[in-house]
Amino acid sequence: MSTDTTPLLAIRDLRLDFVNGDRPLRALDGVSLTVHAGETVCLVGESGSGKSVTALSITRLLPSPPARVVGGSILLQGRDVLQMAPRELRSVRGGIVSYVFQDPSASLNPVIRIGKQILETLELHRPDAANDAEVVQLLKLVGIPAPESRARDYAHQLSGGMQQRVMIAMALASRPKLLVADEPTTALDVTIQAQILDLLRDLKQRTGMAILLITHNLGLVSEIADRVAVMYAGQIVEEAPARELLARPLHPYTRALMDSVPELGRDVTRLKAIAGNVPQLGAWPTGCRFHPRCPKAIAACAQHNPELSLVEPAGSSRLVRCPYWNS
Amino acid sequence: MIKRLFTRLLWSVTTLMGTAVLTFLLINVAPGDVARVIAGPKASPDVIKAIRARYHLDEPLWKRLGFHLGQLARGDLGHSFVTDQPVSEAILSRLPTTASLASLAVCLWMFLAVPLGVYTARHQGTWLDRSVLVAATLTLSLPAFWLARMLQYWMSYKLGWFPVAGFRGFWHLVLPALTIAILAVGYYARLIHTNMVQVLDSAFIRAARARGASESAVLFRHALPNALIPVVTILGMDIAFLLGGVMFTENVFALPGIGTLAVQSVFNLDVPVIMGTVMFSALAIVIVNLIVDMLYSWIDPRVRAV
Amino acid sequence: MSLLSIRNLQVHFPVNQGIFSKAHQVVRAVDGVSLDVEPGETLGLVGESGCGKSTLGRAAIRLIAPTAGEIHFDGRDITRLSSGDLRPLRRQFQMIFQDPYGSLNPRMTVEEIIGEALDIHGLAADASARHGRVAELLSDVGLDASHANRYPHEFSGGQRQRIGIARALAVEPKLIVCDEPVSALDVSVQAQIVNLLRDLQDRRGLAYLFIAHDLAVVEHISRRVLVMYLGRVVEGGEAREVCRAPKHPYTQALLSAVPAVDPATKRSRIVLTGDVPSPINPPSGCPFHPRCPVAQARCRTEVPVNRDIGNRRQVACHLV
Repeated sequence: MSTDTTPLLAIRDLRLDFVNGDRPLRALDGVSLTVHAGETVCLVGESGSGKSVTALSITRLLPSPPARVVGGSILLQGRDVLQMAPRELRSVRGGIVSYVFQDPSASLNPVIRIGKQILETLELHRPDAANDAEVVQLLKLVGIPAPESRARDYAHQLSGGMQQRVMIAMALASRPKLLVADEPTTALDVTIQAQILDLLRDLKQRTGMAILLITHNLGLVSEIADRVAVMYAGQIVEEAPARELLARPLHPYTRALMDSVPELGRDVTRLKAIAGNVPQLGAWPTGCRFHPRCPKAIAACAQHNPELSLVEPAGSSRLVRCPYWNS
Repeated sequence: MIKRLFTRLLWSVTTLMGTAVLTFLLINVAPGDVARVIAGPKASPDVIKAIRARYHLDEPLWKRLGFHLGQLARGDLGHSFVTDQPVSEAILSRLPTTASLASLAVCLWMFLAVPLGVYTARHQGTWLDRSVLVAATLTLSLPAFWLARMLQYWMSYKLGWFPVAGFRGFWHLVLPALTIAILAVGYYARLIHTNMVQVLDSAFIRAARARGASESAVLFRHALPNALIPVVTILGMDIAFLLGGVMFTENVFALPGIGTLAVQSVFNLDVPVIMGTVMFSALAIVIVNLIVDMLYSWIDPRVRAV
Repeated sequence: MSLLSIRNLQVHFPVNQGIFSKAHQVVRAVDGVSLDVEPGETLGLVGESGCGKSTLGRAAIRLIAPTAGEIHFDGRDITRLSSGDLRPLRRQFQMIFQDPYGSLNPRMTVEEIIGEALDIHGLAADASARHGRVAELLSDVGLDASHANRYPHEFSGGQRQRIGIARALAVEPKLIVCDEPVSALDVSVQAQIVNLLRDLQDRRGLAYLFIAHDLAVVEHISRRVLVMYLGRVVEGGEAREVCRAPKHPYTQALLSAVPAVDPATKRSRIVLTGDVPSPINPPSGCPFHPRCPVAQARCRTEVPVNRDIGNRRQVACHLV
């Protein structure tokens, strides 16, 4: 039962542990995220922030054990993924939700021809279209030259950019409603990254699918995102329309992150580095997770972890996890 | 590809040459007068002298080595001191027995090891996984002759399920093959287990799951072929080893294979047969290695490209 | 006088080929590169994977044998020095790597790692001198002296890179070749390392050959920059000038492809088609012509020379 107002994906207060021995380590601590049909949302964070864990949780792709959901819900077109039987889950994976991962050379099976791997996805989700013509069509769609002969190639015969195009073709085979792209350009060269970003934008326009882009690169946000959520130590610390967030970041972490990235053609003699290190899983500070590295932290910050709350700077409404954003 | 085959062949020939020289030297520096053994304990010095002359035992070592290598190059392994049968004939007549035993043993252990390896990789830490690990360690340290004797005693003599010894058909092979298989299955199950665990952790497996592939497709279509690639090398070595003769098992079950031939020849100090069986083992290893190498470029497209 | 001066350097690797294919095929990883690094300055080297920048960096300090050309360090020709003659010189040029973890022995403590560098060149008289020097170096790179007895796995990525830098500094080099030193680090930590490298340069007058694929980082840290494509330098000059007004079509495309964080600085994007060609069979003429949006007939046949266009700029393009 899905109506126009039901979001495509609604993650509510998701809490997830990694069970290591008998000590559970909290990886996600109350993550809420909504993606509407046709929307592009960026989830930005550094290593260990929980952005990839969130992405994989959407279809329960994390092996369990060690991963264990301890609270919250994941509604996909109104259906709770956490309650799904294995069979239903498999029809969702690669069906409604498709994935593209960071390292395309490792994400393709080295001993199966790429055409056959695409065919496999078609057999699973669109059996009536599972034929060579459709495979060639998909390869053409993602801009692979000479698709007929490329389909007979193995992964190692293609360049990194071509491999990622194949991964995208495979993800599109089922005509998904949501494409989850987990650092899809990180392993690629900058000119190839630009090609892949253009391709994603173009495909989104043509297919109307929603994209959830997981990245550590704030630069991609301005390139592609409608909305952006910033994660730090297992929590979303700020969420806003991309344009507003980039123009005026509210959370001290978002601000510090943007300041620490060197930008082309900008005259800065010294980068504003964030002191300290990214906190490791299981070693998150008490109180506000960012307070040990925050330039504006006060004593109260070490005491309690603030809620992600709605604030209204200059007429807009924004979500930020810092009561002192305005100071 | 052609160049690769060519260099491989060259290496094979070198290996065989080395084996030939080494076995020849080892046997000729070992104590024991061959001529006296051939002639028997009561032979007169004249007879021994005649035998020495016939087998060129008087000549200096290097001359005899040259003669020996020349013979080998013509494919002539010489004649048995004991039966006077051509050594190549003796080996070839016993090859079918050993080859059938080896094939049956390999089929048996792979038939068991693949499912065990896959299952234990998928269900790490379960009781079955741990039992396989314990069993693998146990069987690896079992003495072959002891296991062969136990199986023979219980399954043939006591229970009467299998013939005790000799070779008159398929059923005579089952127990010896089982002996070899039991000794190998644990090792192979662990080997496949380890490779599977590694492959199951790779990005393309996660990608296959993310596409909605069923668990059996993930295991058998995506993971297993990749996990078996490194097994091929070791399996090849083991097959070559088996073809060279399974000394203990063949002897316990009195199978007329290359292993029994080798053991007999040692007892009889039948030098041409000893050297012949050693050369045959070396040849088996070299040929199987060549086949494995070629096989690799067929099963692993990444090797094909190089 | 330049500290490091490289003239027409070539590094070719042979490729194993089948018996029937063309014999003597080589990867032209570096194909005729000249550069100068002045004392105390940073020369940036940018390019995409496979352009030869890392090979060039390694060949510059003789970690890889050059095929042809000349390398002068501090006025001395080191192109063909034997490894024995090279060893005493090695303390003058050091290297730090992309993966700090892979370049640190996991079984050695930090003190042993840094101390080893001191021992190799006999820079510590005794154990206590060595201990003191290690503590000094650790504090120079922003680590605590109490870290000396820990093992590499106990540190975060940024801290490991600091250890790598301390090890390089131990022998008081004049030049450090930095091969993608921040690209494996978290964004918020990259800036710390970049700042540290700059501080050390100011304090010790170090020269850097800074190799990276991230143009913004290279622009930020370098005074001059060289852009490489398929083993050759296509453009060079003051970092700021090159990034503000790129002349070579490849540099223009490369710069335009860098996503900007600030939406206000939106650049018009030149998206290149195709992949970087193989350095085994580089295209004829200008190596960039198959992907170049403005290529002309001449570009297909004639190799452009790296010309000086004044203002300390150099460009290898017929159309500039």
